[in-house]
Amino acid sequence: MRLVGTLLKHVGLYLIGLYLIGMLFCDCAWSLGTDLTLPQLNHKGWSVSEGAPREVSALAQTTDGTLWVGGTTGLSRFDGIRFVHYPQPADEPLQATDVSALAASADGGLWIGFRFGGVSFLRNGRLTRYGEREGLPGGTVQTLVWDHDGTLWAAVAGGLACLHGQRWQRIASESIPMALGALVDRNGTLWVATVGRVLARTAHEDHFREMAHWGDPDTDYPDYMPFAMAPDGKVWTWTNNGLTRMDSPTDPQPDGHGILDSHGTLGWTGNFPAPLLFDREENLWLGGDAVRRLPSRELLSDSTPLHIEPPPHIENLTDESNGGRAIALFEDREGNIWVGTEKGLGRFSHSNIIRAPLPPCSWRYVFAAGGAGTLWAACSPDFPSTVGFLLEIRNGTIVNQQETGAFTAGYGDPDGSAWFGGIAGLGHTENGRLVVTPWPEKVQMDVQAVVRDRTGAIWVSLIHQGVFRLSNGRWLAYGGLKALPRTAPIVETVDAKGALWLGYTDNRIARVNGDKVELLDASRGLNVGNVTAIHASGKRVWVGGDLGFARFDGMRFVPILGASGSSFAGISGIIESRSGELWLNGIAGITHISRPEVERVSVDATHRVQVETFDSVDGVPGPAQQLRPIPSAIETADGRLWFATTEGLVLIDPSRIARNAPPPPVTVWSISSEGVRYPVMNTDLSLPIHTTQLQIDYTAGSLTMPERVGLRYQLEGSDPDWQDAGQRREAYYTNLGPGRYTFRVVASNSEGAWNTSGTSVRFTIRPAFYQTTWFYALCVLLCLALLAALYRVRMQQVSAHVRGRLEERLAERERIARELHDTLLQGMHGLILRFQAASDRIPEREPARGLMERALERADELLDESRARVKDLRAPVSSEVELTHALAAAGEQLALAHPVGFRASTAGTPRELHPIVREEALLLGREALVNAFRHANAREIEAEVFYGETELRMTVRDNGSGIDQALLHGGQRVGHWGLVGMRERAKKLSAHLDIWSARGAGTEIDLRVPAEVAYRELGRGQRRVGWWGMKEHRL
Amino acid sequence: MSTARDPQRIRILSVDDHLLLREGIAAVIEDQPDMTLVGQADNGREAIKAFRQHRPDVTLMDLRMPDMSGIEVITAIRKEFPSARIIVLTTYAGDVQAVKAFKAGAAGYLLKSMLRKELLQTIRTIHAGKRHVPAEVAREIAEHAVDDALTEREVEVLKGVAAGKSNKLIAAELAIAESTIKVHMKSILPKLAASSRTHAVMIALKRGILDV
Repeated sequence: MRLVGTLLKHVGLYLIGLYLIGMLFCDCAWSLGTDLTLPQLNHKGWSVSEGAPREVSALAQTTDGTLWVGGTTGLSRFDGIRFVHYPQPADEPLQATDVSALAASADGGLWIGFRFGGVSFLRNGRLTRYGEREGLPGGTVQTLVWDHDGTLWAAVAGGLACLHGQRWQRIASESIPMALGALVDRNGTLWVATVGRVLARTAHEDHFREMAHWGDPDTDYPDYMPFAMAPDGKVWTWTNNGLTRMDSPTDPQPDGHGILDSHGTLGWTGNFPAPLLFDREENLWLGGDAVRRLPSRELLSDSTPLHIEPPPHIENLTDESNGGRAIALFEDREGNIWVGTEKGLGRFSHSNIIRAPLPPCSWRYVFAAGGAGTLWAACSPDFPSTVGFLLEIRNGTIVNQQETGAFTAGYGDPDGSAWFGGIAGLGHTENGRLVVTPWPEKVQMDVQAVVRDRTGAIWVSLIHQGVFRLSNGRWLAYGGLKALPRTAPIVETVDAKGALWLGYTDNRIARVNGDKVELLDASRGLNVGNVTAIHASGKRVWVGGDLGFARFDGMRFVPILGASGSSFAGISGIIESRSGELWLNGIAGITHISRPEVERVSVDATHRVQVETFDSVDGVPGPAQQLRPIPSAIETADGRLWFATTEGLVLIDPSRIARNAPPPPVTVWSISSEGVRYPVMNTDLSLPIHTTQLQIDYTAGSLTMPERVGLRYQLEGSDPDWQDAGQRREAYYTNLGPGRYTFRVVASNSEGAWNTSGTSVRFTIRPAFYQTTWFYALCVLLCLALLAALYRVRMQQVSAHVRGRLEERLAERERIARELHDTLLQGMHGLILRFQAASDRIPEREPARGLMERALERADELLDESRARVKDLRAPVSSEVELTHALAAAGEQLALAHPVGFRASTAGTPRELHPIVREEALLLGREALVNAFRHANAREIEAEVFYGETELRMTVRDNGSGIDQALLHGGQRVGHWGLVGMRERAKKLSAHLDIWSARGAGTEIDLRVPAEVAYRELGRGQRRVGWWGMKEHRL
Repeated sequence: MSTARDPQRIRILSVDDHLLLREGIAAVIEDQPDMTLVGQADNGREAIKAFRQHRPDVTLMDLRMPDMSGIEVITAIRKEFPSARIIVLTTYAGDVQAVKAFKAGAAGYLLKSMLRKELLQTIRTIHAGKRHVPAEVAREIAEHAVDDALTEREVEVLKGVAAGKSNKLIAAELAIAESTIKVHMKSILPKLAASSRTHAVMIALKRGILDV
């Protein structure tokens, strides 16, 4: 440029020369807004080492927002954060590895074409394979495209085919021996590239017509032929014949074929095949050995035939990070352009952070805002060079540039001019020119800060030397103010009222008002460390340091913390914008605090501010410039905000920040447990028993800034609340029990707006048999049954014991009876005979004879009676009579003497009782009847015998005066009521005896004898459950 | 005791396992001029042996003895000496025992309670070649003359029942099925006109089907 000649007289000449040569070749006329240059776009690359496939030649986005990436090393899905190779264990494997084409289907599936032939369809974890057996032509699948009827077409090396049902049908095999590429344009016309020519068929026709041809069809054709549709509907292709625009068969007025750069003037030859793409902003993207972008409007407006050489604005970016040839181009639903390369994957996306493409500066730029939206940028070259240059930038355009000395500090004067300080002296812009005034004395050290106070005096902070007040061409160390710290300020500024603010190391700020110096330090609550930024020109004073950020309320400093309790570190630039927002440039990036938050934190010292952060994800190239030159953040009069980072200058236009993208869709990919992966289908998943650990993989379908997507999940049935996932894309669970679960995921956009519907997956962990409800129920039942059995066994033991005793008693009786019979009775018979013989010898007249005879008569009677008794002992005569009848007889006899209503009844089928039980029961019942008749003053008395299945029950009740409670419980009035005797009898039978009585309410005596004891034989069909639970019948 | 053969006197053999009873009988007979006690025995075998030795005119035979029953002894003696005249002594009146005894060849039947008054007369009656049945026993025999007799097996079953044994136990002891016991019981009850098992046992004891 025109300055070149004058540069030679400066030291460091060749360095500067290099800068300016760089400037020459730089596209310096850059605009803002949507028309960002290729380098200004936010670019990010992923290499093979980060999981990307090699030689990415196929890209597609399924309806869930997932990007599918196909290459020679296989297929992966990509959510913007990580690649997940397909297939994972448990997935159905693909039929080949080398993926050459991809197409998403409207129903959420993905079509996959392979380099060595074959097509697969993947949907909901199910894979369907197609090959030549299904009618698909053999060879590389170049392209898979949908027509407007929803039919899928495959351009295969072996020809063109479309899918009907589950079979492929070869189309136009005569005219299309090979299909090198295909496209369906907006009119529904199908375009197919074949050997040496391009054919097209409209939606309403059934034949193809030739639309273009070139070279020798036998030898001159590429392996693959890409198509792209321009915004005006024209179809373009790019071959080694050049960039070709073709007429459509539906064009009413064909304007002829246009070939751009048919001679390879642009140096594009030898790169083919290479992809091309028109994006939604009408740029033409070209792949090949570099990524190129052309504003297509200029191409489209040209008349035909096209012979543009070179095209006006061709951008060229070779990506060093993941470079190699660009062999696939794809625009996703969010407008990001994806580039598949030999070594990985790249993404270009629009950015809120715009890199200012300034000429290279060997060290750093120093900034100062001028009037009318001007930004002054001075290059401060690397030490020891003292030569730099100054740019005047207005409206995004460098309007002027001049060579200068080296400046390390800048200050935007409220009067619209700019001041720069450096070793060379003090620079001041006057009418667009920088006028440099040497310092009064030679300066050896860098200038840290420069500012002009209201009196017009310049305050210069010199490293290691301190601050000097320059007025009327003279230095005055520390401005003659003894109270100022004897060290160099890091930052200097002047507030709205004209007071000078000087920031020092170690929490020290000096406020200078004329001669008055006020030292504000930790005693005023200042706790930001070394003070590296002061913003005082607005109505508030803000202070930043390497440790934090604070507001000065006039007396004290109030620290400001972020919502998460974090402090703001390394703040070297503060802007309180004209619209009242705060912007901080710090180590963590650029922080934005909205106006309502600023207002709130200005009155509420405890409020933790909500912030918006822009960092490397947004395209901020590096952390805030620290130490020098500062301040690192400046607002120009046009409202643009400039931030100096260690990696260059960026600007933000606050009025054009793109926000509030809708929350992205979320997808749950798989559930894994102990190494087994279960693809998620539409149906409920059933996991095997004993599953306790789970890993659930999910993701959000946002490809622009996935790092900013918030995700949270909840496993209903385990998590009581939502879990914040952060950047994780998987959830882990341990100690899950059997049951039904629902896993829900929701996503938020970068603003924190949640997509409340999200997605959910239901699954069931099957219970082991011992985890089921019926098992628990069964256990309880078994326990109850066992208890019942134990009770029963115990009862039987007791009964057997009692019965054993009864049997003993019976046997004893029998033995006694036999003894009596055999010994006593027989002996008595003998004795009587002898006495008879003796008596016979007594003369009849003797009185002794009579005595003897009478004694013998008595002996006979006694013997008779004894014999009867012995017989009774064997089997009591009365046991013939049923118990009720016996009781009835006893009652009726009593009723003769006591005129009381008496009734005896039987319930159940009378059964034979054990003789002793019967006897005891009868005695007990008789006792009870006697009590009732004699003592109760009853009007009615009844006796009832119930022959139950499990017990014999005998009840005697009256409606008389009842028994005194004390007596009832004491039961001691011997000989009167006989209660003790009754209880003893009951106890002998192991029976329950209940005596219910109340004064005036009568008495009821209730005897219950267990069946095992009571009955001689257990009844027909009555069951006894033994230990082993088997039925035992006794008859 | 005299063993002399006096044609004038009735020669008597007394068989009973109870010494006191034998002594009582001996004392009564001793004073009678027309009777002489030629022998005594306290069990069945001794009785048969004594009969062979003494050839008594009249034998007094207790029905219950430790080794064999009086009925068996009567049968044995009558087989050897068909003209033997035997009077049965028993404690209880019961038609079955009496019938059995008569069938075995007994000529007289005396309850022990009647001995004092009727022994001598009965001996004389029997010796005179007549038979003697007490009125009480005769009545019972008449009463049950038309009844079906219990079979041997039924008596065994009833014996078990009388001992308080369960069907199962009885079946096990008799080595027959439990259900067979029930069949027997069903047959026993109407034969004895009994209403229950206990009743049947009672009747059986009374009638002498079972011993006390």
